[in-house]
Amino acid sequence: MLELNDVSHVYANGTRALDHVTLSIPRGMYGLLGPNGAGKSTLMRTVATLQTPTEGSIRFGDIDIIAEPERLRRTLGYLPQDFGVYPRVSAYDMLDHMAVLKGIASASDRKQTVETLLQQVNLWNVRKKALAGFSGGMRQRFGIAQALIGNPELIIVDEPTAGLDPEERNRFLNLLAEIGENVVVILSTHIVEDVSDLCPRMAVLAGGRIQLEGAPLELIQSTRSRIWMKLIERAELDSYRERYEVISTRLFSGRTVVHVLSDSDPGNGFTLVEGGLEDVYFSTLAQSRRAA
Amino acid sequence: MFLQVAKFEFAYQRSSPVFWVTGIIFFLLTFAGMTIDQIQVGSGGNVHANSPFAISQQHLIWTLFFMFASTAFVANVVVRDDETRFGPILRSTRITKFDYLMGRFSGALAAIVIVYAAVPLAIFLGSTMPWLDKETLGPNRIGDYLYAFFLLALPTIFTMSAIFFALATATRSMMWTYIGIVAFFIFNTVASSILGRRPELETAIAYGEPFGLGAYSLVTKYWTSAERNSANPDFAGVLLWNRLLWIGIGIAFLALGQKLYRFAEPGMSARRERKQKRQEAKALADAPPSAPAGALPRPRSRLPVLAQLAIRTKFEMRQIFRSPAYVVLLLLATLLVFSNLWSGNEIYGTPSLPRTVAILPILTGSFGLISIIIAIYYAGEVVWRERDRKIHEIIDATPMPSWVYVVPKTLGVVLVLLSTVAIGALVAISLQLMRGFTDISIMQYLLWFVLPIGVNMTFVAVLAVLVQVLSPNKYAGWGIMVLYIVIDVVMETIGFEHHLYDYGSAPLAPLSDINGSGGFMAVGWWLRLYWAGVALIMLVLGHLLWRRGTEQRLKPKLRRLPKRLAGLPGAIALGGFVTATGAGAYIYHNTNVLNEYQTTNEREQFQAAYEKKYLKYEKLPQPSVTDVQLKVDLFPQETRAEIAGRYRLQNLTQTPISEVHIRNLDETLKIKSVALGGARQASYDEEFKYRVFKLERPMMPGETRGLDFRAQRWQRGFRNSGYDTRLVRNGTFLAHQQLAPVIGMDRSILLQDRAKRRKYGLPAELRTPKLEDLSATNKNYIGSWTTADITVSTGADQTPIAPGKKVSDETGTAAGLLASYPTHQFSISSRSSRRAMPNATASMRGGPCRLLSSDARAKRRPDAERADRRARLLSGEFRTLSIRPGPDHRVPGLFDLRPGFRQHDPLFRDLRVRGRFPGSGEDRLCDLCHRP
Repeated sequence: MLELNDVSHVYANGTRALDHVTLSIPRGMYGLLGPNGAGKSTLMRTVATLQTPTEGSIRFGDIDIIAEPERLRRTLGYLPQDFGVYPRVSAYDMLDHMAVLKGIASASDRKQTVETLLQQVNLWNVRKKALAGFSGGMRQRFGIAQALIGNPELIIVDEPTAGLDPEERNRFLNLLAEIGENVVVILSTHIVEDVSDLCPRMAVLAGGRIQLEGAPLELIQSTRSRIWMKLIERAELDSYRERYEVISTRLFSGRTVVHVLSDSDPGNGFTLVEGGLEDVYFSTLAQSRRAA
Repeated sequence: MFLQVAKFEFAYQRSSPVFWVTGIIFFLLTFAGMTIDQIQVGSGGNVHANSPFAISQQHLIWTLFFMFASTAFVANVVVRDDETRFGPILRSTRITKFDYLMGRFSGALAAIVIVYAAVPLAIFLGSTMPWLDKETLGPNRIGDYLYAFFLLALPTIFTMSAIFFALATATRSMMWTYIGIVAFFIFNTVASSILGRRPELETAIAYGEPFGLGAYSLVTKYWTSAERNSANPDFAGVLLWNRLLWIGIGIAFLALGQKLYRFAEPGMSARRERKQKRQEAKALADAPPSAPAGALPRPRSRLPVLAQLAIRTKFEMRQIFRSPAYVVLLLLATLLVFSNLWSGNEIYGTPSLPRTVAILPILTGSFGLISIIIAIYYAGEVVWRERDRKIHEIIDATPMPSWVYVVPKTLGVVLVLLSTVAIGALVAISLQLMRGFTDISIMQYLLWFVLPIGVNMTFVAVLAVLVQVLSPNKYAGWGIMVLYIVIDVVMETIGFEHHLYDYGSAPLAPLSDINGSGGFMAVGWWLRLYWAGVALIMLVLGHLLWRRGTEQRLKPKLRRLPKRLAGLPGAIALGGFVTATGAGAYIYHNTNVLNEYQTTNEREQFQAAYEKKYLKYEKLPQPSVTDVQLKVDLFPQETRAEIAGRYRLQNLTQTPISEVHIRNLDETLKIKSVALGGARQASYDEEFKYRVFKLERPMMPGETRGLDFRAQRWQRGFRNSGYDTRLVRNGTFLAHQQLAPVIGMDRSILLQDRAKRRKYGLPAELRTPKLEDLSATNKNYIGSWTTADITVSTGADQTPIAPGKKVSDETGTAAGLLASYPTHQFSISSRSSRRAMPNATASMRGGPCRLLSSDARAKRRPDAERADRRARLLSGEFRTLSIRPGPDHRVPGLFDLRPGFRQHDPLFRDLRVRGRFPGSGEDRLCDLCHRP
């Protein structure tokens, strides 16, 4: 459905944010994972017609996004990573305003759209308050609501769960899952769980390149019986990093859990673990770092 | 700590673009003032361009404008921490309030002072430029620069920085700071224009005026040029105290700012909290509707662009008109207009009758710079609003076409400007009513003010918006616009005067109660049509190049431009192009083909060349005109006159005359033929319209000859600048120079300004003849006594007037009048008898009417004030006369008052005078001109 072909983008200061990205994104939820500064937002903005790539082509169905951004915008829902609001405008008025801009002309359609969305993102009670006074989470929910106006065919949400409390996050993910069955939804995040919970397909972006692409289940399958774990003291960590291919570390009751990647049993007290998507992600990042 | 903070701040300010841009702008402004003849600050006459006086004046005057720039530095000092959201990090460190505020202020002030050094640098470098006239320069002395910079400019810079720093600190808002500065500027202007008219307050003003201009001009008031070229005033007395006073005020503001500043964010006021609680309760009380089933509505396949345009327009208007800045701006505009009208509509404390035609020019004048500043400011605000609010990614991803951005935003700026214009008109009308003037025509306000000014302002708005669309950020856009205005002014002063390349320029018509706008609006409206075409193209460009999304570069958009131009945008741009070309061609035909386009420089060159070529004939004995037979056919609707006449020339000198020099001093007058009895035309200089006739037999003293001539005056089309207000549809007045040839050379049209004369290689001054030089007594200002027989024919609805007594009058298609009377100079006038005279006109200051009549020279002086002064000198009897209509009273003995006096000043354009005349205790009415 959405085809990116050899897309690169170089910023004016010389940063190569996207480096020959080729992706094919089908209907349904698509997760884009990557660390900070991986180029996720650049990719999202490029697809959302807000930025022209230095080279490459992007097509959505029969629309050439670079040549005809206007056509894509008619069926696009976009939630940027960071956004602000106008002063002195309430949530209801702003959603209504956005509905007109998205092409919902009739008053009854707009009323239905705005009221439905306000309830779905749980902003009904504060609909008449000025957006400028919203907390970060409330503002994020407003952003989600506006991205869903007009039943878009392509929904791009850049780090949508940032700043949401767990309850709101669940509510939002449910909403997305419901919508995401028939349309293309691209969800960028650095939270692995968002992707593993929702997305039948995903890609890992780091250093401007696609490091990995596939279905989370298959990817997890591929790391099966290659991830080993051990509980060690913090002071030992450096020596372990030298000896093994450490893909992630985390703390657990004051000690450090290391995960290493190895095709065979590394011995030394390591035990095999059932790898999750997180391990896939971290091992990919570890590989890309090594390659760099 | 304090020092570190100050140092950091200094380094930060120095690396900002504002630092360099401001420095460069002030350098260029000062440099232009030094090196371009037409712009002079503090110098001129015999005062050198780099004299201590001129250096001081420039330092003082530029601080007035520098105030706006320095505020950008100091206001930013505190506000930027809130804007970048870095504030909380800083304020939670160990830094004290004093170190934080004063350290930063000191650092910023240091940067500001360095920027201002651009001014002395530009004066110094400017004075060394090789093309300057050496006579206008003196030696450069370092002490003069130090005196002006440290004693005059620095205190002002400190005080202004401190005041606006305090305001920014207390309000934590750039917007309120700029409103404060505009308010300060306007109050200062208003105060100095109102109080400055009262000489008894001179010393008080000198103490209280914040920029030191009053004090400096007071202490140097009676200085000669030699003193101004060589010395600085003692830094004592009023000058010292003025500087100290304002430094003290600056320190007080700093202390106040520090006191009002809170590290912590202010909480919500109790009243607002209650209000919000109520609203929340209300929102909750609404029962949430049941969740609608099914998918959300989809947009139609056709974009509802008109609905989008409507909602965006409404939205922009709300954002603009509901902002507190706008309300404050309107209040300030009201104040400014009111004070301008109040003081502009009176002469030396005597209020004039506020006729609309007299008030409109003052009103228009009030809107010059202020409206441009408003346009520039709002264009930056509206174009960058989405980005400043960081909502641009959301809005830009909607299918709304870019022109739905451009049009409402431009319209927003236009409406802001229009609302200031409308407020101006309302203020003017209320002033008229306050002064008891009720004959107010809304149509006059609409057609002569709101409409043309509104359209002119639209052009400024469109340009300002396009510049913001193209510029990389808001501040650069503002800077470009300021630069544009400076360049615009400079271009005009150095000789690029044609309206066709001065964007958005469309002149207003001279107004009069007798002649209305007299067809003079045409040139303005043609130009407006022309600029509308250009503006349309600019709007299309704004649409195509609109910054959509996060793309900052212009290049990709330019690359796509040709492709996107296809279709409707291209057609609209083409429409604009065709309109502009068509109107432009028509304007060019009028200004450059039908009429001659002459710049001020070319005019000066002409005058200089005239002098070089012909001044040598000044003392050549010439015959005098002792009788005139004149037949003038006026065609007021065509602005045409056909003239045939005969002079009786008599040699009133003691010597025989062998050649007669005949000149045409009027640009519009065409002399078709001249024939002098017993003479042949020896030469005719086309360029200077100068004829020399050689007499076959010299004219002996006392001998007379006849000179026949035919001439035509025909104002066709319109000129680029200047209107022929002589021959008009109603209220024509033609003096003899505009009707007929002039005999002999004199100095009347030569260059007078010393610097200009030197520039063209002429002696600095043409002096009056020495007392012993008796040859000068052969001539006088006015000329000899003449008898005149004048026949005037004009439109059937017109009343012709000429000096003398009416001999016959024919009614029918043309009214004729034959007059015969001894006079100094002859002139004719024609005005409609059908149109009612205005109900009331202006008041004038003049002496008893006989004075005016004896001062024929007033004709050549367009400046009524000077004429006034002259009248005062002549009589000692000087009273205020107010011109009002009244019953048909006449004062005997006043019949030879000339209408010529009226011609030059709208104040005099009326029929009757009411005044208290010497020897009579009551007000009486009289005609300004003879009505038999």
